[in-house]
Amino acid sequence: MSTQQILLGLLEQAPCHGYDLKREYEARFPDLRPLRFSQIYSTLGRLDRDGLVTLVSEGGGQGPDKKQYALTDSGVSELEEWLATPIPVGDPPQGELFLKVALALLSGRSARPLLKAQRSAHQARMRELTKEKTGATSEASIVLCDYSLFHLDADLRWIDHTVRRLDKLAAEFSGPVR
Amino acid sequence: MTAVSASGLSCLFGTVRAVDNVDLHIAAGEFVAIEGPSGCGKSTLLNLIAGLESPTAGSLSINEQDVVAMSERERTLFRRRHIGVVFQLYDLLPSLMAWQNVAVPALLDGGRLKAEEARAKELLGRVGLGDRTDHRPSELSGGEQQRVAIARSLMNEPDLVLADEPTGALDSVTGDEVLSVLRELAADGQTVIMVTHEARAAAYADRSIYMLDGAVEPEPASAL
Repeated sequence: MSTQQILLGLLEQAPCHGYDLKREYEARFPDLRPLRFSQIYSTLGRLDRDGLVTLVSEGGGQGPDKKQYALTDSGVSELEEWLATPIPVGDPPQGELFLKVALALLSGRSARPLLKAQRSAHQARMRELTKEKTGATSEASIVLCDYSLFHLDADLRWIDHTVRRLDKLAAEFSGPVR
Repeated sequence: MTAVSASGLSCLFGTVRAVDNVDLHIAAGEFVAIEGPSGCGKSTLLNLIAGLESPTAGSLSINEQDVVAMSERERTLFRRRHIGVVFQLYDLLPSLMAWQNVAVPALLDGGRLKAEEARAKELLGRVGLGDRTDHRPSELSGGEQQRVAIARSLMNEPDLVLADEPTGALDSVTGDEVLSVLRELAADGQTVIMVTHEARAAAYADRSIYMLDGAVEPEPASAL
């Protein structure tokens, strides 16, 4: 996640000091990883250099926090472009599970116990997330839990699908490389 | 108190072993999901627990009462008094208002409609439909109809609520609302057994029983 885009997004609401940006970010996104002050100040410096934000006043706070920034027109354009661009679609990182299944079969072992144990671990995590979701007080927390839940659900479907193809897969791994 | 206990439970349809030598132990107050792919036998297992199918082998006790030994009539009475069932397609009577649908199980047990009105409406309040009591099914959304069906399943104060794919016909957001209602019932001490093929739905339960080819998969010794 880009600190730059987060700060542009928050600054569009109103001009802010670094401290206000940190407070606003943490209040809005308590479930996301917090931003450090040093990260915020260095990013604001870079955005200022690139003309995406501008210094509007130098009073009020202390130290580096004396500076209050506002978004420039270029900053708004940059933010709009980022918001309209879909994130790159990569393959999900399930390489390790596939590799464990493949190497188990290659060595003549069963992959069933691994897939069962993985299913159990996924289910346990899904129950934890569902508990978190049903106790959530904000729609943002619910949607964030659901993001993880839908991804884990997709993993489970792959696990079940693979269990049903294990015999064919084992036969393939027991033969010579084609 | 044990809500459901089964040992070597089997149900054959011709040569198909729909439920094959299943051992089961569900404590009172648990919310358990029975998961598995289509045709794995999970709905047949639920129907056995509901007394809608008869086992071909094995033992089955509900509330520590042997239901296999009961006659057909005894089992029907037992089901009415001790078990509430929620189906995938709600199965509400279209000409009746929501509260009248909720009251139906009490009528089957000899109750009179007017006398059951207050309790039926109270149950609708419990599932968040206190303001929809006089609506007919066609005036309710799918999620609301399913919540009426859940209220109906509670009418006779059952020891056990069985739900067969309760979110199968609903979108994910509405499904979550229905599952939250079941979760709240369980939090109040109601035993709930739900059959589902959706892992997201099963995650609302305290634990899952996974079925494959008629058998219950044993829990792995340790999760990774």
